[in-house]
Amino acid sequence: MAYSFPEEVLEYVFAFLSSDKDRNAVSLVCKSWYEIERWCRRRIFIGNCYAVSPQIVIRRFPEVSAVKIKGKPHFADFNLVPEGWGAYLYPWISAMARSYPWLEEIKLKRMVVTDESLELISKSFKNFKVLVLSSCEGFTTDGLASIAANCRNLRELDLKESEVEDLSGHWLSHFPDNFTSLVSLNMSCLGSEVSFSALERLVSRCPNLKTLRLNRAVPVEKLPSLLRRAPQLVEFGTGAYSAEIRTDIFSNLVEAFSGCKHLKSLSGFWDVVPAYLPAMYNVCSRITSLNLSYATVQSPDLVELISQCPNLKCLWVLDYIEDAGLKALSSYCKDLQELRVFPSDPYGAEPNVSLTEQGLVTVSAGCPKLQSVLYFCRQMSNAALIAIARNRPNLIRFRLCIIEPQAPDYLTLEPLDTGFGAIVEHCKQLRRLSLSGLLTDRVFEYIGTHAEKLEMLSIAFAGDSDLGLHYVLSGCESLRKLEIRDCPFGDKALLANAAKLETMRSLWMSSCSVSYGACKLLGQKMPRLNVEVIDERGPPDSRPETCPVEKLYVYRTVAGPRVDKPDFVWTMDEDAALRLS
Amino acid sequence: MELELGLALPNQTPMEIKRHIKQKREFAEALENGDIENKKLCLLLWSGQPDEEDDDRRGSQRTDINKRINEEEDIIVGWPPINSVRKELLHHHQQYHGGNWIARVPGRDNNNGARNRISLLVKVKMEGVAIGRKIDLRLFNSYQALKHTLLHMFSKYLKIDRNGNEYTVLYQDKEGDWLLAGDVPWETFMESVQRMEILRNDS
Repeated sequence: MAYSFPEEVLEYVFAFLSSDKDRNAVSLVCKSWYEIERWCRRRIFIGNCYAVSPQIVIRRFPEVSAVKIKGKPHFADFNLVPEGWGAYLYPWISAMARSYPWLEEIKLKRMVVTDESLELISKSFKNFKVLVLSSCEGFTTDGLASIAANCRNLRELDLKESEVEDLSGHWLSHFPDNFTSLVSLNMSCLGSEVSFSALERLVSRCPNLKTLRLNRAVPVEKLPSLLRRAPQLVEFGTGAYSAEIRTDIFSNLVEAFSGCKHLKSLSGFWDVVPAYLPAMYNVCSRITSLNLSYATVQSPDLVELISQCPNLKCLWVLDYIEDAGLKALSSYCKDLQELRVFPSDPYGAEPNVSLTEQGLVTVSAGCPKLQSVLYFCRQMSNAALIAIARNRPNLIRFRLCIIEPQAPDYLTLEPLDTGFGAIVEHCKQLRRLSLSGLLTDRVFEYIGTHAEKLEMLSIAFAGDSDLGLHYVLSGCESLRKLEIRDCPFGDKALLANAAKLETMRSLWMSSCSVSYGACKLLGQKMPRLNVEVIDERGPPDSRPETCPVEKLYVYRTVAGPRVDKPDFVWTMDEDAALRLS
Repeated sequence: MELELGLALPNQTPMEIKRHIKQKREFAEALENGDIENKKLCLLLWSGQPDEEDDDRRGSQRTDINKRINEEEDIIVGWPPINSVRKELLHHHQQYHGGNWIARVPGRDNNNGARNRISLLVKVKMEGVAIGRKIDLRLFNSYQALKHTLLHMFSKYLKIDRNGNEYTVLYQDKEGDWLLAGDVPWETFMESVQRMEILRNDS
């Protein structure tokens, strides 16, 4: 009975496992595999910063070089999570600074990051390489200056869509003159102008620069200078793409773009003057990703551009593209995998563009590889949804936002249950779904029954009763994240499916009918869940137990109730838990 | 045997129960040596059928949602689901190109919150219009832009002369006094405005 391989061999084998799922599985085999695995895991993903504590992570995984942490729930993007709720980075950095001196990568999403944290990062990790701050907030450009000044081996600085207090553009000038390691820079969310000469010099001395996403303050006439210094660029984001139309600017742009033989991705395009778009035509045949979602360009100009991009895989665009433009897309871009159409006038009472359900149906028919959709529109029908489902059973992500809440099928005035039902029935690989429109409990029956691979579900203004929630929680075997707002779901379904919540990352319910009493019960019976009541009306104790809570956030955790709660958050049954421990 | 622990609703099959157990094990920290909880994780035995209570609640819940949409100043927080980066972009565009656009940036009512939340929501009432509106003043930088947007906003309720010459915009300051909008510098106005009202000149 040979006792398997020596540790070194196992460790060598484990090194080939990159997915967390595989590594987690390996660590459950036996004690010695658990031990070997934990010493050689280098990359950690923490989907909910409160599901675990820095101390627990560090104790288990002593030699980590890359960390990815997510903080606030997704609905924070839409202002549903009050400010001050939490997700502070500092405790993580402070702990990791002591234990992971060789940390190289920090990727964050929806965390509160301070200048202090950024400074600590820049000074604690000698070989720091990658900083990605996605939808984060709480820091200023001073924090960026620390990173620029101190991280000698920095490769990637990506601010994605963070909210940065922009004190000045001076931070960029803090990159030392002998700093040459930059591979990726995304500063598109910043407002202030950086020193252009500092930017030029930075770009010139970083030969490995592959991604450069500028901010709006960089005018179009300055782009050629940058492009000429970085012909190796693969991803480029322009600044404001507008200027008085001048032939010399135009021809400089054409020439500069032509020199970039490796460009695959373009973005930026604020304030686009359509006349400048053709300057990019030379590179369009290689383009696989195009983000025009800030470009207020009308359909004909969009079609002109898109018709030059036969290899397009990913398109983000405003609804100015209209049904006609989507028809063109479906005929020119047969490789399309991802489409996002954003609204140009979401708060207007009347439609301002001719974009309907038809556009999406056409793309679903014409683009055989389409797997990921985000679509804002003002009308939808069951027939359209059924057609989309039949056309594209390979859909993985389907997020539909019909702008008017509870809008019915505009042809029949019926709920859209059967339409979404068809989506989950045909698209067996569906992992993410966002619903909208008029929906009864029936749609949830379809989802619970058919959506076996569904991991994330977003629901708003839908359903009739607890039954709807019950269908979802008792079905949907792969469900990890459920976020619900303004639905008549209450205590029964939640309590009857309490066990399900331990199999999920989190549940968000706001403006629903879950009572304080039910929250307390849930918190009492489920010690491995944090049941957070978020209520800005004051302590829930001051109201009857039957009174519904404003917002409820439930997540599994091994770290117990958190200690950094603001005064409008209560963890249910925290007191009892403390008494028992 | 683990299967007896009532981990699932009564009408579930053994296969489904096994799946629950599998999921539980996957979640458990490293090595729980067979220490499966003995608790009843189903906190409520429920047949899953809607009962009369639900019918009543269903009706009133629907009304509640409608009330929130129609009554309270026409606002649905966080809807449509667009993030703040995109919202600011839309506003920037609308300011220069017109359009009936109102900010929806709720926060808590204390304006001395952290630096990055920029929201100064004030109520605006128009004479003759039952429904008041809320507007985020931080997204404007002049009285001109503000008045223009206000009149656009209310024009769907009353026929309004687009020049707005027939209307006076008043605001209530921190002391509770009603003043004419436009008299003090914009910054001063921003610091003290609590709410606003639009009156017709011939009243």
